[in-house]
Amino acid sequence: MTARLLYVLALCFFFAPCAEAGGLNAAMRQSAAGLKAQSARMEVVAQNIANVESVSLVPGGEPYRRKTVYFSERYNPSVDAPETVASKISRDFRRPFKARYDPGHPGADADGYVLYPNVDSAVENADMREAERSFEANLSALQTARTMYGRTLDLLR
Amino acid sequence: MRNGVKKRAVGMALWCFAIGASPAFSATIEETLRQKMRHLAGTQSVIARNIANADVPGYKAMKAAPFAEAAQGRGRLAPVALAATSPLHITRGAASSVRAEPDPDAGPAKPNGNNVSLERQSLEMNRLALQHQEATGLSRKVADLYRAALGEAR
Repeated sequence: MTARLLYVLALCFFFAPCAEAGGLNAAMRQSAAGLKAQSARMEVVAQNIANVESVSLVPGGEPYRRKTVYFSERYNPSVDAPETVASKISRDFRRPFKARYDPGHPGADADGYVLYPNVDSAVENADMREAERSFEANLSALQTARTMYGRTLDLLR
Repeated sequence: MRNGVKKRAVGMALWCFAIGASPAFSATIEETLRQKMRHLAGTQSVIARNIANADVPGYKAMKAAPFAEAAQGRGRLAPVALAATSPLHITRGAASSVRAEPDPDAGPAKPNGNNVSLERQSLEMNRLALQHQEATGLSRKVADLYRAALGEAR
């Protein structure tokens, strides 16, 4: 009985510092921030695809303008570490709108053209794939950190 | 019964020996393993940061300082804690125990200035996971030594 107690005490004494795993917590936070940023990007892609036909009902009005997402690394004071964030969601002012001749449409201008959104489904698809790959990479980093954490905890069993 | 007592006595003798020799023993095995595991955890957080920032324009891949440096006590950041004189103050100290520096062999940068290669990072991550498994395995063996000394050998 005392031997068992001594054994447990010795274990706690020698291996407790291994279980603090502060670096692993930081790693999991980083990966979680990456996952969040990539899902924000997916959301923007989904909005763009959903609005591929959203036009104005006012004659000559502006249709849906493609959204773009900006990533950056920002200092998060609550965890005292830099984190990846989708810092800004902006609109794409470079790509021109597509015009389609449709005089009967309520949104048609004086010449009978309706402006359609500047969403290109090929571009959106590529963006979606990229977000998916990055999401997977973050997920596997998270899984690795989790496995490492689990193994460290197993030492105390 | 007698056998058990004998076993226990031998165990206690071994245990006393381990305690007597502990400065040398713990400094070599446990301390090194502890440092190694801490270093691996820090390295994992550097890799996680690289992967999380794989799409951030202008981000440069970072690399953790090698373990040899950390083991000599040079690579570790000084554990500077912020003075907290009010409960509203932030009291967290240095986040990572491993020094990170820009990776010199990260490869060419993408047009947006980012040079993180996901392949390279996942390769590093797998290598790291194996090393961690090795370190935990060794730690378990060390624990088994103590267990044997206490007469609870498996």
